[in-house]
Amino acid sequence: MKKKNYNLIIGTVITALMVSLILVGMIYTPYAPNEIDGMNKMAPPSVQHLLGTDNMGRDIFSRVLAGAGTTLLIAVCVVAIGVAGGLLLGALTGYFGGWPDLILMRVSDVLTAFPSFLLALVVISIAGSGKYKVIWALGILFIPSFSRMIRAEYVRCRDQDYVRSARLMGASHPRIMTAHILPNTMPVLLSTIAIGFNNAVLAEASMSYLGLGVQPPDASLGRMLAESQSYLFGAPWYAISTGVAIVLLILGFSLLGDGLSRRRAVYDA
Amino acid sequence: MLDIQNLTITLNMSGDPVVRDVSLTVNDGEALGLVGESGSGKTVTALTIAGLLPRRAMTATGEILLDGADLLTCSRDALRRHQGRDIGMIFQEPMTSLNPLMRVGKQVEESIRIHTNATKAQRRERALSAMAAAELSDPEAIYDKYPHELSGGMRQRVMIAAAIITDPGLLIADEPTTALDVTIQAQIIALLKRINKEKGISILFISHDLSVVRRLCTRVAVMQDGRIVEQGDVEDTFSNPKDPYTQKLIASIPQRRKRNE
Repeated sequence: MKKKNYNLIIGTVITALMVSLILVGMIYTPYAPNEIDGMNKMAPPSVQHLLGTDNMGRDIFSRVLAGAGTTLLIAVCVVAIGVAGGLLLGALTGYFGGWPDLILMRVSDVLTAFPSFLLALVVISIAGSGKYKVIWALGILFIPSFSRMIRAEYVRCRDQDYVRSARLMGASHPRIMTAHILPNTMPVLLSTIAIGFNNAVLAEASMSYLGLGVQPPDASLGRMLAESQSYLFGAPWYAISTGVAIVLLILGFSLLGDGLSRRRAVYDA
Repeated sequence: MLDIQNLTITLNMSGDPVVRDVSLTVNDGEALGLVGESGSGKTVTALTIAGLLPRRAMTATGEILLDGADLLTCSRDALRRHQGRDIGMIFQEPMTSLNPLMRVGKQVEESIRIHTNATKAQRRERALSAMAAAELSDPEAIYDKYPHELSGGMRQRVMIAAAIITDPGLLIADEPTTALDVTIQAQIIALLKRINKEKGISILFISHDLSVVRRLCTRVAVMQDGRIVEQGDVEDTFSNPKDPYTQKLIASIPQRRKRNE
């Protein structure tokens, strides 16, 4: 009997919906996200302003689209840095083992012992805030968790018969690592990436909420949530729509990642 | 072809040598059976010949001469050139010895891709002919399949095709029939025998199954606790085993016998 993988289905639907909304938002938003309209401050949702306006009369729907776009863009960069670094380190240490493996894994143990968010805060407070600094800080701090997953996959694969037979055919180490093992790490890598997006969105939102990430007037979901807090009772639609956008993004990625790892478990069994 | 002199192998993690003072010769076009129980050192010997035991994980003394070149002392690059081109190997478990995410044809032609500059079309052509030589029906269709679409016997044939595609001088077969059922086993043995006879590829056949060795090989070496206790012509050894361990092994082959005897 085959159970339907609802996590995967729902996660894909939510993620696809959010990502396509964001992509549309990059080309077209009903109003310019930073356009101030003094006559229409804190207007409740209406036909003109689907999700109402904020304290400066800016259209919240447009800002949510633009803000989610910024958040997602940062998340993409963060995950890309994490995956690139993680692949390089994880593949080398997992495949060759030996003392570099020991040292790097202990370093990553130490890094994992601290919440990565806290470390990012330290980096930001030294390097200063801003979009690109947040990207680098979070990206580098994501490397240990990715390299750990990838290393485990390379350790699992390196003694498989098909790897031995590739080695026997005279395949070089780089070829074995890329052509023979890499595709076999994909199931794990994909679900790790989805979960990584989830964490990156959350981390970026938290950073911007604390005012360390994206700087005003540019929109980002965390930034908007921080602004909306002051008007929680006067304009609840502001906080609610921003919050729902964050929740949907995170929920989508998290369900997607969970669904992918369940699918893997089904195949492995 | 292959000449092993006084090979002693100690794995770094264990103290005692697992292969002791083994000398073996595989002549051109010959099929030599290496038999012994589990843990007797036959697989370690084979992996060492194939260069698959990491050099830093073991200490080996003696010589492994492949056409005069010592595989134990040659450079890694030289070893890599021998691997795949001069030595082919098939493993016990056909379910795990193929990469699950690579098309079968690509895996068959991997050696050629590594060792020659053949174009894609040339590689495909050679892969198809190797697959035909391994008696896979409809190689064209199988070329584009993934391993999970094939049966165990077909996968083992794919492995054989991949191992013989470069026309190596030596084929090492490490219990290639153990995981297969009896009818498929007989077909694979017949196939190996044909490859041995028609292509003149020497075979080092490792098995614990004496009856299989008797069907395929002309000479046999018996290993126990890392040592070769007896070596000689298959029929002589079977009809007149000298070593007590060989006698026991032969006595353990089930015989066809009348019930009331």
